[in-house]
Amino acid sequence: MTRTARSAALVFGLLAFFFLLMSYQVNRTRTLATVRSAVTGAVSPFQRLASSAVGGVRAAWSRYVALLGSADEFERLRRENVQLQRQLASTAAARHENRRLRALLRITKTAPGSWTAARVVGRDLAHRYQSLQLDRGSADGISVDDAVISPEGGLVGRVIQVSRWTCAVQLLTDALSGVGARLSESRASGLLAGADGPSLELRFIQTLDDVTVGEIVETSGEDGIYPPGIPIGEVTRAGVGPALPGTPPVPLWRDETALFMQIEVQPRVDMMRLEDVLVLRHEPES
Amino acid sequence: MRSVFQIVVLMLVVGTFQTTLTQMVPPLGLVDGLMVAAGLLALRRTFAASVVIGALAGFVQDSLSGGIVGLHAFAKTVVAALITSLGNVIVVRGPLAEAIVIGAAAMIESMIIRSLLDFFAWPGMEPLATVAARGGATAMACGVITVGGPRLVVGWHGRRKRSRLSLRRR
Repeated sequence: MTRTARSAALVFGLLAFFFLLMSYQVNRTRTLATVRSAVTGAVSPFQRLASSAVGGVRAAWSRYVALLGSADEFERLRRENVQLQRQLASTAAARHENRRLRALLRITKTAPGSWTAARVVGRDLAHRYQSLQLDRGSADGISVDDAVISPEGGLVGRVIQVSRWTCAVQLLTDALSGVGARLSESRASGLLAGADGPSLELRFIQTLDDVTVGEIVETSGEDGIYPPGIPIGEVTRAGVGPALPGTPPVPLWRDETALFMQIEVQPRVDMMRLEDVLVLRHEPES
Repeated sequence: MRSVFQIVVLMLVVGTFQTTLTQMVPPLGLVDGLMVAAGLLALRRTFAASVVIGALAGFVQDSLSGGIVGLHAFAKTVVAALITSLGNVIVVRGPLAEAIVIGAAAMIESMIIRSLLDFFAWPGMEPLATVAARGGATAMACGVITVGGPRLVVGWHGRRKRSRLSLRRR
């Protein structure tokens, strides 16, 4: 066999192998978890180390180097402080705080297990809206299908893969993500699916149900993964028929021939700015 | 065997740093660090070695990403084969030429991934604007590495050499 033929055979062999590997996974929900766990398990100590190193550099930058512009920063902060004091005097801040604490209290009451705080140490290399890595793993009691929420109480996603020191979280915004959700006022239940972008789609809400723009969407608990009552986001657009990309929110309309509405939901949590999260651990059933 | 192990470790290190940096500085998510590493190696190796490097880099990327395992491995294998073939036909030397080739390779890889996702009816297809931005960002990162990297190494070696000479003089 000549050298050219050997090279061609190598390329076609590799391509055929990867193609068969992909074909094998297309209709299966768990995609080669063992392979992925082995690699993430091997890199997780380095990932934690790299995260600490980059965090250290960032902290040093913000503490020392960024002090060069401190005079302007001081003036800005002084003005901001005056504004904040005015705000503090009003009841709006207190009311907001009250609402947030109520949401957290409701979660602690309905959550079946205990909490673990975790830091985001990595992000999906290919798609930023699909998954992220946390610095907690099976050694901290984390297991697959644990719900993950932000410190403010908004739902982030669920744990899909666990190694000893880290775990991977499927974000709500992943196109393969599905959450049992309901509208807080009309109590209509549906399926909240990701769209591989910043917004979500609430599906299977009947056109007969009343939906208002701005209505809160929360977990229904029907999927058996997420505890009920965790706020997810709010309705930004709803209607029947294909949504027009880039158009402003429109008032509701109905079409008697359609069965389900198309509802766009803006998540409460900004997935791109997440730094710390809480993992709701499942208690082992006795 | 030793060099294969070194390449695997290099890819794991690049992949790990990429996930961490993407979390810390989100715009860096557009840079395909593994493509830069695999592309630069592919331009300096034989055809068979480049293809294996491409496959390894893609496999590491698949393992550190959500989605189908094999997607990036397939695309990077094709791209590594293309880069080496191009390197055999025309001379690709110097930071600018390498940055252009690797930027284009990142775009071709994204297009292959789009086609595969479309073929398998799998969600998560990137918009064309992101594909173009990924190519540009990867080319820039490659340029920075190829220009800055050797200077850093030369500077470090030069300083070591100077300090050795001064020690001998004493």
